[in-house]
Amino acid sequence: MPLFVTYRGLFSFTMLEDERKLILEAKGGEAEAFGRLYDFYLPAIYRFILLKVGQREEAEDLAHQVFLKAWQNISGFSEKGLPFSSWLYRIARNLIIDRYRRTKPVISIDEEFVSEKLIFRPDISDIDDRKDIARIMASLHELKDIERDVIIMRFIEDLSVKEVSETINKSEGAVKLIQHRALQKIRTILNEK
Amino acid sequence: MDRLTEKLRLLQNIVPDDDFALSAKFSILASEKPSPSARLAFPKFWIGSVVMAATILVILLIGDIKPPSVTKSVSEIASIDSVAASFEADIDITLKEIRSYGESAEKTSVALYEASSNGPTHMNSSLIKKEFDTLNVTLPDPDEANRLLEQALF
Repeated sequence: MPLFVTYRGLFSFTMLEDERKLILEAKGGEAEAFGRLYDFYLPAIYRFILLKVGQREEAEDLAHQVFLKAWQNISGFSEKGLPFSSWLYRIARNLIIDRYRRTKPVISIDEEFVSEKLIFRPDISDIDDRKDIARIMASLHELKDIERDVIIMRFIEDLSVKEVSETINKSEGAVKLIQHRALQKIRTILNEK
Repeated sequence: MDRLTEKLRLLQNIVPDDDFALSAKFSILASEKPSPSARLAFPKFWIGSVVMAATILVILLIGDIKPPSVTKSVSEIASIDSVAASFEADIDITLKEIRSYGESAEKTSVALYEASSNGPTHMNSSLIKKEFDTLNVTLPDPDEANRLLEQALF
């Protein structure tokens, strides 16, 4: 289990304790360093993709491609620009856009899908929790792409407003507005169901 | 934190399949990685070179600075002009001489050709007489010449 720290202050974000060192080593071609970055970020990137495309196999394939692309292009990653996490989310977003440029993903999320297709941490065994997860996932798919991205990054992956704004190339004010509207939509959808 | 955001956080418990995570990791790390040195060094080198070249160009275009090789004072330029004019005059003279030698050589060769092919027929008798008069030759007395010859022989 990799060590990580969570900073909560003006900017809230989670990152590996020695992330900068690992990135430098990975840039130098050290596979082990990139392997640690992969171990830490894969769950978040996989979740982000899964919640967007709604299909496990597609999510696995795209997550694989995200990290392959990151490994092959890590020399071009600038620490002075985006945080590493934002860089990965941006790669993921672009790959999803490319994949579904012509046809939108067919999504069918229900309790059966959640129970049979998804894998959870061991502490989630409550049936009610799984029902809630299915309802929330279904409601997310009724949002616009940009709204879904903001909700996933802000409330599921705990990214700061600043990180989200850098990832989706919008101002922090715009991110807050999108977040507010998206939450209202989800509430309305859940109350209707 | 309201109830909705709590429910959203439930989704944090979704994780990728361990087998997938492991096999994808090995596959990625086994793939060829581009050389870091080439990717890092070239852009910096090219960006540096382009910036330097652009800076020099801008200075030359809008500034009053010129490359040292073309910086000459007015007096130097004037002296260069006079030297050039002198060379030009010399060249003109030489060309005129060459042209003159060429013409005289041609005339000479024509005259020689005429003399060799026609003989002295072109020389009329009045001209020969005039030249003879100019020479003012006084022929010696033949009797005196005979006498001197006899003395020398006998």
